[in-house]
Amino acid sequence: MKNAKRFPDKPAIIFGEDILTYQVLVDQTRKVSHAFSRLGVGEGTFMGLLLTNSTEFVLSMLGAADLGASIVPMSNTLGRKDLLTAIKLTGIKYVVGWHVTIKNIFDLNEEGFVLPRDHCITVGGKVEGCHFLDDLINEDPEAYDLNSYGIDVNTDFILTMTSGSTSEPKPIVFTQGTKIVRSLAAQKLYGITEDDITLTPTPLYHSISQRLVLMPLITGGTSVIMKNFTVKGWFEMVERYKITFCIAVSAQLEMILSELDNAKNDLSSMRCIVCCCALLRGDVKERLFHAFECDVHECYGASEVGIISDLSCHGTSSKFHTVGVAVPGAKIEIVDNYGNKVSTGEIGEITCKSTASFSRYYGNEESTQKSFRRGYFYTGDMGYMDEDNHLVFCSRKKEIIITGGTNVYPADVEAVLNQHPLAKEVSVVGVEDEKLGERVVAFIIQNEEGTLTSRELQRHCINNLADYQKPMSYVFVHDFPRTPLGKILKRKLVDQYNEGSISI
Amino acid sequence: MIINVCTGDMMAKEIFNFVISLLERHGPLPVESDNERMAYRYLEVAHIDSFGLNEFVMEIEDQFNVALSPEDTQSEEFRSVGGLVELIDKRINAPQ
Repeated sequence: MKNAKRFPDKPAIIFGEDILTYQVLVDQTRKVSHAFSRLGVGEGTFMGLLLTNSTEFVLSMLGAADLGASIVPMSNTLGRKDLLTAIKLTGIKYVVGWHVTIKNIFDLNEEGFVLPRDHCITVGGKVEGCHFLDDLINEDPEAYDLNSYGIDVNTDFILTMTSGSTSEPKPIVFTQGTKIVRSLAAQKLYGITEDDITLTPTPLYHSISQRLVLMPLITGGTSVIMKNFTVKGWFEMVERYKITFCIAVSAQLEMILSELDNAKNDLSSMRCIVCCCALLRGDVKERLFHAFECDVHECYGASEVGIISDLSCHGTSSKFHTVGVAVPGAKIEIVDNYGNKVSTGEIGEITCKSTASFSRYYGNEESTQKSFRRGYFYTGDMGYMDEDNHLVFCSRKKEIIITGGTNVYPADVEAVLNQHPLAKEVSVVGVEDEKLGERVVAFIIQNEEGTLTSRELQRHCINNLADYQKPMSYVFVHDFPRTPLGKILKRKLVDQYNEGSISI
Repeated sequence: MIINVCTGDMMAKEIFNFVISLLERHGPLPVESDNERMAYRYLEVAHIDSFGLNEFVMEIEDQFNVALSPEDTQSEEFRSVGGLVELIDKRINAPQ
């Protein structure tokens, strides 16, 4: 609002050929907010977003914020089970979704979806019985002003769906205040001003993308959003819009780096690049830090607490094996299994205190309490602090696969595969992948019939897992390497797979 | 042979419609007309990304009862809608 008064004609959001100036953004948000309100959305309402990157995503997010509603952003390829779980757990009452996705949801659930059709708002096309966002916006005679509801910053705003190793989903709640604090912290850390033009190359359901959109709107800058990430597209966007700032996931930066020498585009506008979400390999980090003639940062953090450490290329290459020092507002402590602080150089669990911490796990007070001790959040990652207070990340304690920068919980995938009647036992692991960092691989022991095929499992996963969760390979084995107590040794399974010595 | 989905070829039109419906599941197509859609190079803009590719191929194979080899999916033809329609058409009509 403030920025719309300062420079109404300045581009706020650029997506494809759509350019929304600050004034247009305010006008459109007002209409979306009013439209949602007419349907019954208000403070405390949960709205699922099943959208690809689009201006509609941004408008829905801002419109919901204006009403004090919370959004639950999800991939539009999300599996049916995960979608139903999210709706059940968070009490989602409305869904804004790509029309093909909404239509498929109703087609797959002939007996009816858990939400009535008139609680679904479609984007891109109409679906019988549902509201069409364009119609809702166009039929709005005179939308009220934004901020009419005087929503408090402590209002819940975004729920990020996640789950644990036991497949117990734990939606993370961020208030409007948390999102603002994180945006301001990133703004300060990377010196973002109203002159910056940021590029979002990641899906908007990803927490980092929401920050990349919200941060420039707070500072008065411009946010350019990519529809899908491609290296060529990234180069073109940087040149076309004179991008100055970008946060990308490590897998994307590795791809960018591999084609940098062949790029004919002018990338000189770039002032700062930040790598997030999965750690870069040491050698890649070194090449990246030297390849771009701009600031390059690598950040480390967790969804729950945001960025907690930062490595800047102004440091010396002797620190490239680290993920940098604690950011302002964050305190890091390495602890042993009993929660005692360990000495410098000793490996333990990474814990941290942060002013940008999440609010809570939705509806799961016990998990919220368990994740903190003495005010420190337990990340589940292992690492140590060196003598210069640089954090060195060693491994993940929690079982998470990070593929293309997105977290996949093996238990979620295993639960779906285990439902197949011909699968006796399954184990899902992450295997190193040049392009994606890690890729999801499923190992399966068949039951006595032994007629199961990869194709059959692929089919089984179609409507039950999001695209990024679906295994890229299925490997049939006679047994898994196990502990004497029968627990699957996943690390060994990966090693055997990589060595080609797996027993098939 | 250049397939023209705008004219009488019913099979090509059916393949084209199916490929478009698969692509639309992943988001809006940036072009409207059939001719533009035939020329649409969906892989280059990551309309189908690494995560969605296996399933995309499987859906096509299941729908038309054909098999696309790794060479097929890495071919130049596979990269555009028109090329893919031709490729599927060829596989349907290939002698068993």
